[in-house]
Amino acid sequence: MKKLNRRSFLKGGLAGGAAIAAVGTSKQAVAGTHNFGGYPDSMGVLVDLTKCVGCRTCEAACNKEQDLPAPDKAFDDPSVFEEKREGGLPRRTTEKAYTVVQKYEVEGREHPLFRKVQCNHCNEPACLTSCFVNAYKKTPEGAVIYDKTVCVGCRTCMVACPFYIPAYSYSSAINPVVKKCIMCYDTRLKFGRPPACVEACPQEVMTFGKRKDLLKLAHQRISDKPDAYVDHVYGENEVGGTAWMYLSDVPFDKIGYDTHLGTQPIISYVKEFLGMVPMVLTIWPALFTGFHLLSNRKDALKNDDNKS
Amino acid sequence: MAQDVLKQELECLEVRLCWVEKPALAEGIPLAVLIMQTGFVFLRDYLFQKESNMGGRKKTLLGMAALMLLAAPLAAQSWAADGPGTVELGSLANHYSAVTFDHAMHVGVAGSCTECHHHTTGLAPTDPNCARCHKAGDKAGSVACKSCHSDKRFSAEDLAKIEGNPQLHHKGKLGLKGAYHQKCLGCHTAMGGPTGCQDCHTRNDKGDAFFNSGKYAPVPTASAGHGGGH
Repeated sequence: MKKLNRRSFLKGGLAGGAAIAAVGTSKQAVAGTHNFGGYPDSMGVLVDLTKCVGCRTCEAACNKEQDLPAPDKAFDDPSVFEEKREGGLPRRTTEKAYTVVQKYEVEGREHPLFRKVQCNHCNEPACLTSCFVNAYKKTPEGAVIYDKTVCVGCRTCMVACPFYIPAYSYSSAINPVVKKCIMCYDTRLKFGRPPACVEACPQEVMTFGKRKDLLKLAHQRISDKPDAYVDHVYGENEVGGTAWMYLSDVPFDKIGYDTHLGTQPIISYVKEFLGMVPMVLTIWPALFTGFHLLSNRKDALKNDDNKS
Repeated sequence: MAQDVLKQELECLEVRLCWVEKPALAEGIPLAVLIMQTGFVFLRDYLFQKESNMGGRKKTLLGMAALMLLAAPLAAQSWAADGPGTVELGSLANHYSAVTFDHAMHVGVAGSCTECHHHTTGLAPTDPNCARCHKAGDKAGSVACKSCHSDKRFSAEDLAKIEGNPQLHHKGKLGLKGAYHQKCLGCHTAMGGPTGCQDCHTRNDKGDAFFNSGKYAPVPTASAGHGGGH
């Protein structure tokens, strides 16, 4: 075996030690992929779709509470339910309507099912994850709010949201921003009051309370009347859990809900990859420097022999 | 926590002791009947005794009075047991006018008081899910919907009360607005009654503004139908 130069041994040893140390610390960060689960006392809303009659009082209440522009049609006009977008999709949230009610004709069900759609205020929101200007914030009260003065209107959050909720002010040419339900945070939730839609609903479809209590209530409703409900609380675990949860008597995939979202928050699809970057940037230079030195050892030693 | 349970027990007792006029009358009916029927017996003997000096007309008048006395408890009984004729439901009136609820008509339509008043009238509930725990028992102090269903549901006090009492059953108890609508619309949907919002309470001007309807309806423009995002 050729004589090992002390300097190259020390270089190799230092590089190897640093690499191991880096692996050790950053692996811990990457392996900690437990979900956030929301703040402990955050509020939520349980939506019981078996009770909704499609009166759209919630839409009217939201419109007034959030000072939204006048709608295209009156709130008691049922023809809005027949409006279809490209591909036969039902109506969705817009810059003028932070919440909309959709109508689904279900086979075997005497009356159509009405579904209220609005931001679900996820525990680990995809919109927040994707926003590179940090416009979104998950508040301890449970609402996911955003700062429209920070928003640059890139619409990345619209791509990221698994529920297709953030709407865009296409009507504004100079300063278009993203618009969505904020659970009436500024005017109500901050002060402990329920959102306007919850308070306005005549059928009390929505129940406001602490998310953890609502989960218990939801499961109790299912166990009290097992024939009246599908045994699933949508939003309990979907994409890491959402503050707005749903009960239904019709399977969720038949009424427009995506049931293939999985239980991992959207961030977990990128968290591990991004978490590896510091480790990679530390190890690879050291590792490849080591390889380079080792591979050039023969020539280096030959040069030394030639010199001496 | 024990204090909260005690407080709830005392509140419950308070409600039960706070009587409304009608139940008192209903309680007094059997005694009234007894007295009146005793009176009727004496009157009958007096009228039909052989050696009577009373004139024919006097006897007829007394006979008619006796018949009326006999009928009185029956009339009183039916009035007290079935509650008021109409009830004005206006505590939540805001975008709509108050509801003039025809209680007498609904008494005729409903099978039993429990259909609407759960078992606050003392009868056992008919829903098997309720009958698991609730049996026939004492009447509640008040059978009015608003005595149990809060008109300030989800307010800070309402939520604090629910949260502060871990022993509380029916934590998901509806507020007054939800109770009215779910109870009334539930039956109306099943039995073919009125289900439109304005069938029971007409919308006022404030309501029209709220719903952007009536004279506040948006004027359809050329852009309507294309706005709203894809």
